[in-house]
Amino acid sequence: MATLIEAQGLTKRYGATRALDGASFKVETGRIVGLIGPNGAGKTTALKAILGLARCEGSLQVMGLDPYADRDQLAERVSFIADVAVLPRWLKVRQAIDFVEGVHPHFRRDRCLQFLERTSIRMDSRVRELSKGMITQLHLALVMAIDAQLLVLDEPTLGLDILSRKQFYDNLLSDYMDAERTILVTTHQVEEIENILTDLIFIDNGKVILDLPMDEIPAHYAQLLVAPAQAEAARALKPMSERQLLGRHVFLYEGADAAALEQLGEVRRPSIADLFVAKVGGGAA
Amino acid sequence: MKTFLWLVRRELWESRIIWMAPAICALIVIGCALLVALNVGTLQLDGFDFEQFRSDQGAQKLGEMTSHGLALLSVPFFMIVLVTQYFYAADSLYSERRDRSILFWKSLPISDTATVLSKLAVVAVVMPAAAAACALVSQLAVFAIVSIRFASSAGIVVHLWQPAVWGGWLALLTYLMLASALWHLPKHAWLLLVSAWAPRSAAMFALLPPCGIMLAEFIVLRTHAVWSLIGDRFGYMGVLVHALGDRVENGFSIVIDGKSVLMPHSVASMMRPLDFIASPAVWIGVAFAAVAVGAAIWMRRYRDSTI
Repeated sequence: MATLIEAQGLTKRYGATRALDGASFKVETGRIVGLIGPNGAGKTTALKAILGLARCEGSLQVMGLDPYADRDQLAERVSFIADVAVLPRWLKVRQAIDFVEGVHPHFRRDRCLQFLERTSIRMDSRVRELSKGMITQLHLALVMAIDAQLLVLDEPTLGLDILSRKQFYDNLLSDYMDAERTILVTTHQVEEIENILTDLIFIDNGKVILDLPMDEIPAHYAQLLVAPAQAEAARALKPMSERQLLGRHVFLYEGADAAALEQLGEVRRPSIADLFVAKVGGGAA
Repeated sequence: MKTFLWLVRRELWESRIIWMAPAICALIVIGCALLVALNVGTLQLDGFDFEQFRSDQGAQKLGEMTSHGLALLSVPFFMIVLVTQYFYAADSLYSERRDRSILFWKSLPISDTATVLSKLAVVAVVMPAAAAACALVSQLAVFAIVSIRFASSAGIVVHLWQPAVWGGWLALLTYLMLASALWHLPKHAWLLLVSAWAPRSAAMFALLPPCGIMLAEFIVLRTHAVWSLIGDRFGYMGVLVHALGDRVENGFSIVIDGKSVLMPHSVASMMRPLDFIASPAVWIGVAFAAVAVGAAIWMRRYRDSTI
């Protein structure tokens, strides 16, 4: 599979603080990659670097181009949604479509209209008259009608209610995603994208602390639920984290022997949220 | 080029003041003309001797009056556009950062150079052109109203529509528009630069450095060299002096306050395009504008995009 994004030792300093600190990762074509991290971890900086909006040290290639130097070239092949609030409020729906069609060589008007037909958005409305959910739908309609190879989403569902959030990802999967396209997404609502991601990258303090395809997670991480009586034995296997849930102890292990765990209790695949808390929260505690 | 036209169109969508301000001005001018025309019978014009215009000389005089009337009627339009240009330019690269829509625009394949130049084109060319178009429409309307009102003196109103006079006026209008686009270029480029940089209201920030320097100069040196350098870029005096020449070589004299003043036969005869183009003041201004626009493009391209 072709490598779409390759970052090596990506570093970005803002004064004394390092938003990115030697981050290295790869994104391959056709994947849906979640870039997850706590606030201030460097997610947005990494996205900005990929979009050519911020200059970083280290090496970074997107589709073989240097995004910072070749931003104008790359802009035709990369789409991004920063968050829901960036469509200008004075813009009319009709104007937005006309404009993007006018300036983007890979925009397909019919696709955009087809998508909007399924919504209650009217062509004469201004963005300021639309609800947050409708603005997101409009933005998504514009972006999905662009034949781009890479779609970057930075907290795309921030401030949306749960129905709009679900609809957003449903639309993305059913109408947009195919083998030629790649999506890179950051969000705090990890449980919502858990089932759509193919790859997971954790970033904390500017460093990549986990980079795995989703289907390899069970091979590396396991969650164990045990009765209090087995807790001591479970602790002896050196878990990454421990917590109590409904009278049972929940442990998370990295690289543990699955057979040994199964003798103690119920073994599960850890959720992204559990992994995140263990990896990031554990380090901070 | 196609992208550039879309960018200009976007500016017209966003800043409706570009065409609404001159359109409203035109409506007011036409409204005033209508009011005057309807009430003129009660004004003292009834005793006016129209017969004096019936001769060839009278026709020429009426043509000259038309030419001056046209110039006078365009004044409000150009005063208004001066103000709207200032606020449009100061806001142009600031508002997209304030509402973060810059992130949307930047997600599209449009270069920062094209974006900044489209805004410069709007402030330097499109806004004055909109003002001139509205001025022309209202002038046609005002002269039509006058012609209908005085239709009984049919032999005379025809002199209000002398093609040479109107042609000369059109030429002058176009010329002054282009000349003032060049003349005001440094001011507009400066506003775009401040607009790309300012953390808060760019309209205010734009005035701070020049005012600060002028104040410091006055306090320390008791001179006003900076003001004399940039002061005439704010209004139209500078461009009129440079583009029209300050002397009238032949014309007709009128008496004002007991002094005889030479008026040009038509304002158009005052055009001095070659002198204007050769003037160092114009090119120093254009050079400054080039640097400032370059800096504005750089700002939009490389600074952190939102406030």
